[in-house]
Amino acid sequence: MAVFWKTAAGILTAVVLVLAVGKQEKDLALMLTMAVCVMAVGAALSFLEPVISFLYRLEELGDLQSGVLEILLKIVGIGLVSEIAEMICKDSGNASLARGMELLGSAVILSLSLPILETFLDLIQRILGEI
Amino acid sequence: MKLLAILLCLLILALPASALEVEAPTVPEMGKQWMPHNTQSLAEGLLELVQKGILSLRPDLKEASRISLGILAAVLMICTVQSVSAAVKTTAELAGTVAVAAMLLLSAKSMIRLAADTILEIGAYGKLLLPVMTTALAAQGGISGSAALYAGTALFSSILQSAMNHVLIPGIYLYLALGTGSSATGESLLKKMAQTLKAFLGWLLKGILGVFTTYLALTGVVSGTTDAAALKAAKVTMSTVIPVVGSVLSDASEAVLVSAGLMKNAAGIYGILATLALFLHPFLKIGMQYLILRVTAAICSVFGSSRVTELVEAFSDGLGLLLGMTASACVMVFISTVCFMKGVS
Repeated sequence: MAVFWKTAAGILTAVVLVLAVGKQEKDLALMLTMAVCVMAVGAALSFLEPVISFLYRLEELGDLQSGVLEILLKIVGIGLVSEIAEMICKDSGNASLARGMELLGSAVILSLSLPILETFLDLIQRILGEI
Repeated sequence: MKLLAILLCLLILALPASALEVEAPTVPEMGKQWMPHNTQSLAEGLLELVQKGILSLRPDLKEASRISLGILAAVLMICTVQSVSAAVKTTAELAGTVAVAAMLLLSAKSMIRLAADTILEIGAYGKLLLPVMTTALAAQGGISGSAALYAGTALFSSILQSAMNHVLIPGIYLYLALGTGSSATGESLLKKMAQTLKAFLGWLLKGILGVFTTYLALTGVVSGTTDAAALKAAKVTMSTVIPVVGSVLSDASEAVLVSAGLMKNAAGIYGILATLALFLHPFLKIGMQYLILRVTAAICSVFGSSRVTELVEAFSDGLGLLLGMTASACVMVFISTVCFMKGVS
């Protein structure tokens, strides 16, 4: 839990710093924001490690198709990164870049979801094939 | 000598029909292992059948529990992933639905095949048993009654088999496809189509059985009074245990009880036990899977995964239709046999 308290304190300090520095040095404030976000993601990952091993255990327990969990985890990662990047873009006043980031994230998620969509179609074909 | 032989032949032919020993056809291979040793007493035979049926469910229970555990693991996985990021919500739901549907499809296919085989076996056995009973009843003078009963049973049995092959089983597969599609995409139109199809299949099954029991009542082959308490108990049991057609069967329970009270014919008792031996194990197996899926759906709803819950419910509804189909086929032969026995005894 110490990691959580340290990270939370770091984020709050960064907020004050960004507010103070941001008036004169916008670039520096942006860099600080990005650095603290990376730190927060790193801290979150350390907490998510046992969750991921639990998810693999569930996959094994449910005898689920291998590869589905990997795809979902990739989508989670891409979703989180694109969401944070989008917010940073918005904070720095670049709405168009934020929209571009959102579009990129959605496109990657969609392309990663394709195998699942194909499996879904195969499944429907298999059910209808029995008729 | 020749004259003596001719006289003997004439004497044999002149023997009353009741003296002829009516023998039911032997139980088919599928039901041989479930057939009770005592085929003289219906109560004892039934008890042995039920005991054998329940004891044989253990491996099936294990398999059904494994599938249920798999579904719960998939639901838990989806919920965990969704709680980390909202971006994955749609994909996670789709992936979860596909994984659960793939898991359920294998077992649903084997259950559908089992139900279809059971109905075919019961129908084939009925085709062997009912002519024997018809001959016995006709020999005792009930020519018109036996002909009406045989014609009705044969007709409705073939209608049920034809409906099963051409409408009910393809309909169940279509219902499963619509259910999977609606759960995976969250499309309400697909859900409505699935519900309409389910209602149609239920009505078809109820219709066939309803017309059959009405036919029996109209031809007057089943009539009489029975104990009111026993009748109420039978009605409640049938309407709660058998999904889809339970209410129709409970209406016919008076006919079953009245006729069951008149069972004194060894061939008929053997025939009924043989029909039940063919029916009971598949019915219990599908019924257990149905109940476990219902419980699994209830647990899934606790986790808040509404789409997977709907999917599991759709598959359990499909199994409910199968139960109704199998029970209908068995009850048709059962009612007809006891009606014949009423005439023979």
